[in-house]
Amino acid sequence: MFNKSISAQSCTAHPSRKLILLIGFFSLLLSACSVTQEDGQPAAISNITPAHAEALADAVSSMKSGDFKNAQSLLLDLINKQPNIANAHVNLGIIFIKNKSFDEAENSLNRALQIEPKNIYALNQLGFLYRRQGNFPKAKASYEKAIDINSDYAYAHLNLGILYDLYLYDLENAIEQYKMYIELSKDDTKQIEKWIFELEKRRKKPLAQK
Amino acid sequence: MTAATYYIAEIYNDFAGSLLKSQRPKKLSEDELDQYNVLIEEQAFPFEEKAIDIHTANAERVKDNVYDEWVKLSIAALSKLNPIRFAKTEKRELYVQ
Repeated sequence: MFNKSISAQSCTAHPSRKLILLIGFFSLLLSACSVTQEDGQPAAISNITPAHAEALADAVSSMKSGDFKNAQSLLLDLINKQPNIANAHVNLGIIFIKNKSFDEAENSLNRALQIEPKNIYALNQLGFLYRRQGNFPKAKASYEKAIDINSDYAYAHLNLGILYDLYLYDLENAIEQYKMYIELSKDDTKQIEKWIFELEKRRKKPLAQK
Repeated sequence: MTAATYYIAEIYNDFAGSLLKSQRPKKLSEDELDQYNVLIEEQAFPFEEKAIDIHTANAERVKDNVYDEWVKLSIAALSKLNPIRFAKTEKRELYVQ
């Protein structure tokens, strides 16, 4: 159901471009099958073509190379032609966050969720956005929803842990989420173990006085 | 209130930094210079600790639903002063395909 997500750090091997486009095309078709209308009724399978897959791949390629202006232009053009590709809106949201256009980012990510309510990447980006705005209950709800959809999604556990830790001062739950992240992720686990150690020490101490 | 707290913390932090970066006396031997540096660090440490405590008090205002620019700046300052506790950045996809 989910389109494959790739972070820049994890992208090391590249199969041929044709294969990528083929995979992208079928991913988009699958994505289109999950499109739901605002009244809750499933929409008809959208007219997604290999050209749309190629346009999304080109936009992602521009994002990878740091050409966000071109990526934004390609994504807007793609959305204009085919508005029901959730990950096009997610990528646009990512670019808006990068440009500090937070209202536009929120709109794009919410649009992605209207198209694909179970898009965990949109939920994770929204969680970050809400945390940044100081809307901690909505940030928590976004991360928790992503985890409900896919409990193996490591980033949502880490981000929920940080929210509990630095912003909600719920140390018990922060430790639990960090431990979940360590279980699921092989990256930077030593760093997170240090965080847990510090939290466990702090749990026994009173907080600093105002 | 949060702005004042931030600036008070920064005064202590700046003072600690200025002590550490202050000009060293000339004509000290290598051993004397080492000793001098240790003394300066000992003098600066309490001011840095004070800065951490005050910034932390500001950062902990999020518990009272206070999360303005000054609280954010205190958290940013603490990410350098107390990285184990505060240098924690969310992870997000850089793109999805």
